[in-house]
Amino acid sequence: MRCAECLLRIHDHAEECPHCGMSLERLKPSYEGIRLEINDGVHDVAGALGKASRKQLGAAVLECESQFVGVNVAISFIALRDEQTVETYGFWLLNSSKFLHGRMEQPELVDGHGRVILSIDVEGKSAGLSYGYYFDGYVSERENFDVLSAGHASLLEGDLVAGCEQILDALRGLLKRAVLRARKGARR
Amino acid sequence: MSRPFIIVALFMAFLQAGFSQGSRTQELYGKKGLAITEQILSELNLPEWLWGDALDYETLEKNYRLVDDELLDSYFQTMPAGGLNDPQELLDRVQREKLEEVIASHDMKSAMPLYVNVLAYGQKIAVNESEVKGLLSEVFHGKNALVVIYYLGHARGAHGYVILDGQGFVEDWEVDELFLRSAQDASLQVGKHEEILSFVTEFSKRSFWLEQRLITPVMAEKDVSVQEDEASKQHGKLTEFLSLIHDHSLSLFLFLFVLLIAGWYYLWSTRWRKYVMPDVDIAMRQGAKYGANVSDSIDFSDPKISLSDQYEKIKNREL
Repeated sequence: MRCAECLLRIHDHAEECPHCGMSLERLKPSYEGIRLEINDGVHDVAGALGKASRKQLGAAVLECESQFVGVNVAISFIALRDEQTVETYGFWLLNSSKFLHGRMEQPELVDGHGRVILSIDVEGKSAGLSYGYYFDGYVSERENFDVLSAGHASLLEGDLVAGCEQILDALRGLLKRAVLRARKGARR
Repeated sequence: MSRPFIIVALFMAFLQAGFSQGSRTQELYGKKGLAITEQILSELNLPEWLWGDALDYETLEKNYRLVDDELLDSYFQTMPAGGLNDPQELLDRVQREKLEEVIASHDMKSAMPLYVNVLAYGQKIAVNESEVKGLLSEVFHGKNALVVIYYLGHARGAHGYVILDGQGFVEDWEVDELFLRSAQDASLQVGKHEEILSFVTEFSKRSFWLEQRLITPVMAEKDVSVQEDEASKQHGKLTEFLSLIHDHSLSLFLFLFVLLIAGWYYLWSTRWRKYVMPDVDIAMRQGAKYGANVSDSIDFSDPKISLSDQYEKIKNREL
């Protein structure tokens, strides 16, 4: 396990990072004021997407989720400030957000340890993944890097929708492998 | 006793002897005789192998006759349509159709059409061989032909003639070999109908080698080019294709079945399969409720920063 701030290895049960002292509580002031509801898998606080693109990505997220029971996926677009990083933002959003799926009039709150968030910093041009506790030990650093690499070319060209769709496609494969590993009890 | 009485008694005795002899003759050589012979043979309970290639005496008796003037015209003085000549109707309709199909298939591919004359087992031809050749020369004058004289139920007795335009009858050891080998293969079959079908099929196959040797030099000598009819060529290809499919139908079926299973498995695993995360031990850390597992980020600000450089940086971070 790694700390989201200093990226150094920490113990499974560490209440705070022994290297930098980071915990969720300590991050709160830094990200206060950001909208916490994630509707239908897309969280665009940076205003990077148009209506059609948002709908398209929402459909891609739902398709990705549809094969998994207990897994919820979301994509967040944000413009981070200098002291903020995509890793700490993903960590904070994973634990602070409210996943709302279904119709807007009667939203259904999704709770659980199967959350996966793809965070994209549209200002700093970086992207990272955050996983719920279900995936602890079932996904490797190399696999994470490969999933994000799948959309690298499109993201470089500024095509956020295509980049995200490619990443989601690769993520689906990774999640399948992770579930199968969990069923076998083989942690990485 | 009076003399007339003695004469009448002697006459009656002779008559009686004549009748009894007559009835014995019928019993021995007529249908009753055959039945009795059959009965005796069945009572003897002889093993099957003892019969071997023995004659079917009943059929022999029924069909046995000379191929005389009446039949000679049918066999050797007319060119049979369809290549099969069976004026005595020894074959039934189905068998005739099967043979005609084989002959038609041969004729489509060969420059030497096949003619099969079917005779009954043991029949004799009233004219000698040179006369038969004379008759055939008139019929096939200026043409190539493979003429087979086949005795139904006796493949090994089959013989015939290879007639080549410009050269007449081909007298060659290869011709004898052609008949011999075909007969050997056919005699493995059980049943006279299967035997003749096998003989004609084998004969057709083997004749191509002979044709290769005989036809090409003649054509080169005469500068004759054979132009196949386009329609028959197309039909030949189609027939070949259909027979290929027929021959490999089981393999094709298995292949399609495996393909179907593979396709279904692919669709199931990519579209329809539901992945359920099992209950796993959860270790909460850093005050996080749902998870604290983050990946390394990738940078897409500058195309000059390659992915491999970024991965190297991640790998060396802790070193």
